[in-house]
Amino acid sequence: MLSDTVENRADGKVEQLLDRAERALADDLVPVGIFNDDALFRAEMDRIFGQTWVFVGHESEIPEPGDYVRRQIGLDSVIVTRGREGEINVLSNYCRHRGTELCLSDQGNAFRFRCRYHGWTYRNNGDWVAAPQLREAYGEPLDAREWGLPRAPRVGTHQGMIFASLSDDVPDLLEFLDGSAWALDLIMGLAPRGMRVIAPPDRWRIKTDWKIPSENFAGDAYHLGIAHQSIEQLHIAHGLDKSSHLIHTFEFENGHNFGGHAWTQFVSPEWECWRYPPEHVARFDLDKLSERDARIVRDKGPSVGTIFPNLSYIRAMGGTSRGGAPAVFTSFRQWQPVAPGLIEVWNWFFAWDFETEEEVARSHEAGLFAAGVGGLFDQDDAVLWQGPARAAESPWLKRLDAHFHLQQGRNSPIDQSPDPDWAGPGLHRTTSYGEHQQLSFYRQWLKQMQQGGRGA
Amino acid sequence: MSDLWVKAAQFLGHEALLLDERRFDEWLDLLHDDLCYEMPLHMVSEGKGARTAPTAYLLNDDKGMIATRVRRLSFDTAHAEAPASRTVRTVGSICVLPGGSEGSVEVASTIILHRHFGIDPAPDIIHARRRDRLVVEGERMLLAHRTIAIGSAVLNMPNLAVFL
Repeated sequence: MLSDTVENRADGKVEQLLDRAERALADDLVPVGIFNDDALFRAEMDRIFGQTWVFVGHESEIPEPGDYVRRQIGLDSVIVTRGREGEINVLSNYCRHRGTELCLSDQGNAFRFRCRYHGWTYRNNGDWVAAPQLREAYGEPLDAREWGLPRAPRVGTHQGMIFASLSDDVPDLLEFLDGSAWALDLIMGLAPRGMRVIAPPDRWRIKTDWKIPSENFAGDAYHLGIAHQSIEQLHIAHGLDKSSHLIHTFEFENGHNFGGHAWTQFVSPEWECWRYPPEHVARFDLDKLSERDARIVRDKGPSVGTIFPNLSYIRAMGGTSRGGAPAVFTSFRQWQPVAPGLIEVWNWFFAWDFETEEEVARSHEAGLFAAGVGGLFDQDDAVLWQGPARAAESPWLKRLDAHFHLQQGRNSPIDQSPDPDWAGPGLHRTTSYGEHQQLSFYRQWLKQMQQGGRGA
Repeated sequence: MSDLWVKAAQFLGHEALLLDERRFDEWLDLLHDDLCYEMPLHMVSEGKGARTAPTAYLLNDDKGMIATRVRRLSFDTAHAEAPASRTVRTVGSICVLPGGSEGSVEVASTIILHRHFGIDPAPDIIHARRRDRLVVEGERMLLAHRTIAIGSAVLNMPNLAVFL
């Protein structure tokens, strides 16, 4: 029987907001309120970040036994460790005795973690292993698992990308990733040793809701010509206002969405393989791909996207002026929720394992100039994304029961139907018009929020 | 030594004035053509306190890239700074370091950048430490190398569209 506790009232409000979202999404709208609501945010931290596969890093960041990095899953601080047999564990970072954090560094190497408060010690798989004056204090060792650090029940990797789920009640990683696993294969798996992280992630804070940048990278080609017009004025980018034609899309199950720039169709047959130079493409192993996939890589390889819930990706050619040719950079970024209306962006640059030091430096340089904390593209997005969280707090918009508009394409003459001849995963459209990918993202969000509220 | 300090302090104060007043072309004239302007990434590794990862940067610009940023700032389509932020730069803890050579001086300083952008309800404040190499060319001083370390692990601003 429901008692009238604060929690129940808050949950009631969450379910009401989700009901409104469900009605809205049926009409290709979303309520403004979902972008800055305390109760909803808390529910998201449990129902999305506590019950979904979430990205925590790349294998190249913890290559040796004992290596660890400190990461976030939603609001949770976790330690991602590499064991002696190569296994990866994702551990809660709070001592089981009184909660003091075990790991304060960003990365390191240790097979044990000892708490600074009372000395409780854990193996890097989370098992409780020791405490000071053990016999006098506790008589005998505590149970290794019962008092060990909580361990994410599911950890999986694909193309070296490490995902973890704090809930055991999730499908296998590959099933969850659906077609985004295929996209990762084309993005990262074109050479035997794939890609590696160039440097630890850079981090910066934006006053926005995590769903806003996630949906942007899922399918927002439409903003490029306006939001990033200054880059065109610099003659660094070209044809940004044609992006909705240029970016063809891949919509997968479970809210994952990618886009690929159809350069060879719109600009030049020489602009294949993300415009990597020929000597770079020569080091890809395209022969192992199916004819269909090889064609996709050449003509419109995935260049932008979001893996639900909050991992996005961009690969583009960036200019620098260090007297050298432009270079292609690869960035994965995670929109970490911090509080309602506040995120922290974690941005990783990747390089191909086969690249020379010079090539890596150039790619990194191009990436830093276009993306990241000082990057010309990210700079502008950050300020534009601050509006939604403030709008969500607007008393006037609340009174109006205002919604944001995702009805683009309803009256558009552009054919947005999925390509009937597409035999690859998911749906493939030869246009970005229609905000279909953003809708796919919100529908997955709604589904998880409503499922999570009903319990596992 | 103190004469150098005065010259360095004057240079840094003048630089802050130019940037706060958005006189970017005049500021570009203070930059050496071979400028290296970098912000290494600092992470915390166990047992060692803050440590720079060897290949990690938040920013790694040369003069050409800075000039491109300046040119972009003149467009009203550069949303990150449209309208232009109000900024106040406080430069302090100025210290001439040993290791300068004939014609150049190594200077450490701190900067507090107070930045209020657009209709944001509150300003952003960022603290950083800088290590500069100033070279003397005749009567003028030019900035040849600047290494910036911001005072927190996470940048508390939505972007770095302003110069530190």
